[in-house]
Order: sequence, then structure tokens, then C-alpha cells
Amino acid sequence: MAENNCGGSKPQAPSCPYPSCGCIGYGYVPVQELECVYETDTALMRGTLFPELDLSLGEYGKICKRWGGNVCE
Amino acid sequence: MNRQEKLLELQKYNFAAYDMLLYLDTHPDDKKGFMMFKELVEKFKKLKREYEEAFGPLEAYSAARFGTFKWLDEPWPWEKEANA
Repeated sequence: MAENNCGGSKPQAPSCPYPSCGCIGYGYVPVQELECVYETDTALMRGTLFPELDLSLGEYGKICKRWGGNVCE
Repeated sequence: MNRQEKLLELQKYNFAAYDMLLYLDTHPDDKKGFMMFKELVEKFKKLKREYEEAFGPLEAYSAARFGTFKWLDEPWPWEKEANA
């Protein structure tokens, strides 16, 4: 067993309250929540049924869904 | 609706139903999402039947619904003449 200074037992991974924090070392994608959807003709034009996924290349990555983001609130 | 408009309507519902299907892949217990999926699929199937009754089968298996074998009738749905 790898040595550690936790008195033998392996420290528990920090609990991961949904959805605000990700676990250390884990990639984390916020879970999509079904809110409103586009009309079918808009959806076909925009390439998605879901407004929150309708992101131009420029927007993608800059928006944090609910913590400090500037869309979806 | 002419053939072009009908086909576009069909594509809209096909796309919307499929996108909702992708959502349900990760949210299988989402009741609201599932209801929306059912509605979209129902509408798509209705439009598809209407299209095929008016313009012939869109896929080979649909040809089985007709009295005669129409699948080889010109033009096929993906051919230019069918989309002019």
C-alpha cells in the first residue's frame, strides 16, 4: 500500500455537492437542465434544440453556466 | 404544402426529435423531456406518412405500405429532381 501521512487510511475524496464543485483531478461538465427549447424551425437553423447549447465559437468557453456567467440567468 | 415545404417540415421534426433523444441519453428519467420527445416523434411520424402518401416512400421499407412497389419510381428522395 503506498505510504501516506493520513494514519494509514486513504483520505475520502471531498464530497461533491451537485452541481457546484467538481472533484479534484476530475474533468467536470455541468449537467444540462431542461429549460425551454427552440421552435422546430429555429432549432434546425441554429443546429440545436436547446438555447443554452446555441453558442457561437466566440462565446464558447467564456460562459460559466450559473456562477459568474453572463447568459442563462 | 408542396413537396419541398413538406420535406423541410419533416426535417425540422426529425432534427428536433433526434436532439431530444440525445438529451434523454444523459437524462433518462427526465419526464418532461420524455413527453416532449414523444410529441416530436408522433408529429414526425404523422408528417412522414403524409409526405409518403403524397410523394412516395422516403425509405425502402416504407414501400411495403403501398399497393404496388413504388420504391423504384423516379425520382428518389435524395435526387436533384426531388429537391428542385
